[in-house]
Amino acid sequence: MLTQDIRQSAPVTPTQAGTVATLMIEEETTISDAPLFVPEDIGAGLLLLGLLLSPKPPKER
Amino acid sequence: MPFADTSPHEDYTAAVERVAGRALGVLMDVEGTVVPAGFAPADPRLADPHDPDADLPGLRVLGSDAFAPHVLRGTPLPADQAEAAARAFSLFPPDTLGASPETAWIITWRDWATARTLTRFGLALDVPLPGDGAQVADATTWQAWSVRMAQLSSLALPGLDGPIHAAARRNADSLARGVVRAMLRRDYRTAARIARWLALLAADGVDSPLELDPLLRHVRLFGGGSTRTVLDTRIAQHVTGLEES
Repeated sequence: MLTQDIRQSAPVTPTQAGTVATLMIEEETTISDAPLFVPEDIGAGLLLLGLLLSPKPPKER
Repeated sequence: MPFADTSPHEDYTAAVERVAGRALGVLMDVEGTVVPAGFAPADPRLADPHDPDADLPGLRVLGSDAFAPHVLRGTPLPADQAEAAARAFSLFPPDTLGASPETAWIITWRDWATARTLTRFGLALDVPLPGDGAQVADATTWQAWSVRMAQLSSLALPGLDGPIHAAARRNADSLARGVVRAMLRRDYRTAARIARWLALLAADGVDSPLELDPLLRHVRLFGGGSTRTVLDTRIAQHVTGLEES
């Protein structure tokens, strides 16, 4: 066995120890997909706008 | 140890990347030329070259992964690294890490793997004995189980065997599902860790449900630049004998 000469270091804080534990036990990442374009979200507004701006239907004479 | 204007998490993450970069250098036999992008030791924001303790958190976090390249390549562990490993465990003893009861057993098993790996180099570490590994079977779904196996990926090394390894051998399909799920979630870090178990099983003659070579290459290319992830993929490739790709 190797003989180790261990230097004494300052004791770690609970935050530092907790950080080591967190990095050791890496949880899986949360899903963070880029926001997707959802055209149907504005579909109702576009439809209403189109109805309001559309020309009147021709009248019967 | 903490550096100006950086949190312990940033400091320790940088230390992990540095230690992983050095391990990668040993594994790829290009020691000294692998510099993790953005985490070069010369970067004054992230490393203090005069602080001998700067890399100890990285050694403590990586554990057996930091020494696995010496095992896989059959090279001796330098005496300064053996001393640093002992100091890392002295600075962060297992009973002070403050893990929750749900996760403390994972740290115990990882420390067991580190101690067993260092035993090969003649260094004895005093770590708690792990239990029977029954906790790994507590997961009710293959999703949760595969994530636990990812957290235990540092045990997936040749020469280590125990109840966790037996559970992996019994559930190769769940490991494969876990890798695919992680890939679909773009969680390459988790995918690389689970793939290490598949690599170990493949080396033991268990048929892998997935083709590991393109999988590991994809993770390495798209894994987001984490040296730790690259180290995981390279260890898996060495274990399966695919290291030339």
